[in-house]
Amino acid sequence: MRDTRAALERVITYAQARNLVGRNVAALIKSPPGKASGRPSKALTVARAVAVLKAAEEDRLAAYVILSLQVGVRMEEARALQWDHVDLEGNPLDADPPVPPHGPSGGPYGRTGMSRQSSPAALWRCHSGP
Amino acid sequence: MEDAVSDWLGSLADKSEKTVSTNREILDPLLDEIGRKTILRDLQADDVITGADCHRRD
Repeated sequence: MRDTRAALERVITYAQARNLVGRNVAALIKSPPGKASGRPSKALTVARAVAVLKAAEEDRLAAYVILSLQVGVRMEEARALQWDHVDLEGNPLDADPPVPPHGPSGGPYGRTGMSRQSSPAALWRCHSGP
Repeated sequence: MEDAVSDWLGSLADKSEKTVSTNREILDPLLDEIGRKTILRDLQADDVITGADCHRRD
């Protein structure tokens, strides 16, 4: 119902802007509250993400795991990376966290389902230390 | 109402086709409930509540 009411409100707002209607009756209605609890998040907490990073440290796929967790790239995106994509000159700890400008799926915290707490920037701070 | 919805959907030219079709699909059943020929100026809040409620039950 919320989506329906919101869409109708936009329809009437559009008509209002053209003086086709005086008031927006859809804006007067309160949508019923949604379910108290939604789908539980499957995102890693910071503690779990840091544990994964630590467990991967000695693994030959460590770079793959670290990159995937900290940047939020998809598996197929990480697999496509070549050495010439990597800046081996700078000190990574001097650099800003390696967050893509808009995240891999367009959101500020990366792909859908990534919690704010385990955002790349938060992980970077935890894993890099003080 | 039908014209108002059509005008608004037509204004979404800069949006993706998916966005436009989703909005059309959301509004279509509501239009059926409140009446496609209903005059926008005559629309009351109760009409919207009733229409949206029927939509939700479907």
